[in-house]
Amino acid sequence: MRESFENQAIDFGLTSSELEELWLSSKTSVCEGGSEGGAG
Amino acid sequence: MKRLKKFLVDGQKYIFDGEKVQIRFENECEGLVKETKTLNAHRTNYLKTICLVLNNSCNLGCEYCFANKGQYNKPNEQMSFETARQVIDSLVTEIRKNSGKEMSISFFGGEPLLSFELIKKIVDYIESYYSDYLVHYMITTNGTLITKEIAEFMEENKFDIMISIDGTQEQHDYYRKFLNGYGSYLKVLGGIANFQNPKILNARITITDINSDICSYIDSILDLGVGRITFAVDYNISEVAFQNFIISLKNLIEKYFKDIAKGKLYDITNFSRVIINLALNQRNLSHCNAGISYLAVSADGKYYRCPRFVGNEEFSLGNVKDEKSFNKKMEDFKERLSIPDKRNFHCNQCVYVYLCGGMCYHHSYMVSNYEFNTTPRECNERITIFEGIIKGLCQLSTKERRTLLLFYTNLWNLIRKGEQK
Repeated sequence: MRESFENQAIDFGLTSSELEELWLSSKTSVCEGGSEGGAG
Repeated sequence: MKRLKKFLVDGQKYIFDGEKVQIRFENECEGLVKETKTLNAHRTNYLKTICLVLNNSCNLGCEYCFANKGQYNKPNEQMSFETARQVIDSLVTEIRKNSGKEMSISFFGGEPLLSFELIKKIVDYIESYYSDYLVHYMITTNGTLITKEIAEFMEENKFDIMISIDGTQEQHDYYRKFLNGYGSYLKVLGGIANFQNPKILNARITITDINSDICSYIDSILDLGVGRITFAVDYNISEVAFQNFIISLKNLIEKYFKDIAKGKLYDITNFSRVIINLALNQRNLSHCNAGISYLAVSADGKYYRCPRFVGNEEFSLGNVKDEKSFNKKMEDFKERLSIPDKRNFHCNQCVYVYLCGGMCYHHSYMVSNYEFNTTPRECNERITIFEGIIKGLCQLSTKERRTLLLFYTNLWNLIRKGEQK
């Protein structure tokens, strides 16, 4: 679990628990093997 | 080192702070902004994700394929179940050593769905023997072989599914042809129609000379029902087409934020990964962490940094059966890129280094023959995205930013199993 989510300057409007859920949900979506490099 | 860049958006002055991966108002004294705790994005320093290149065969013959029409340098090679099992057992050993509880298995080819029976066997093995782990499955497919049975299987196991679609039918069929020369577009549409919820699908666009105006056809892809899009530029693209792509990319970012304001939400992963790093103030220390937490295994059982290097012996990290040699090569590699300061002068000076994470090793290698280089085109593309997104986020209201992030959470949860089994 991340330590802190109280960190915005411009406000994204999410509570700490909503930010944590975003962080958890993003684990597989934006991580290893982004498949963005190269062609084909 | 300070990494600051000023932005003027709708008459309001903002500062992007590259060290904190944060956007703040310019007149807001840094000390008064709620203390940030900048963390590194989800990256482990141990092996957690394996990409299995199940076969060196493909039912398409796309001219631009990095893998020589799916054959790499060993046509028709097939991965055995025994090799896959051995790789998965080694992966679990590594995860256990590091007290981890999650792993990701990515199915790749060739065309991985030519080996659907093997996929089922591998999933069955993992679910039977490693049910106490949280396992994420991913697949990259050309989409032409997806039957109702295959779609059901993938949805049931929450696969993260990437299907190649290069634009309109005419654009797609230009390169993406069956071996008999017929275009594959209509078959891909048939595959998509077999999913109960096509919103989970990630359409993967390869940008070439014939589809560089991405903004002009993005809606035609979304109209197929997919909820996610990822694009990547072919390194053989001409300079004229690349410049056209950059113009179109700027238009696409503008369109994306206008669509958000209108309540039309979808995920362009090249954008969302930047947006969530800004929302969570996370640093990217590498592009995709290939070679550290992510490795590929070729059909003949050799480790590589990622599938794009498969078949290039210079980048082989050893055989699945030779753990000693593999461990030595991995340690050498980790040492080379353990901290971004070791990367290169260009990245170290860049205000966006922590939003970026660096280049794709394979792309850099193909363009410059050195995998740790920056390449002007990739930097141009990334900076266009970063600056467009920072401006776009500043233009949105807090409510619109909140709606977007909740949309991402809900969408990504559809392809993610719960934290605890």
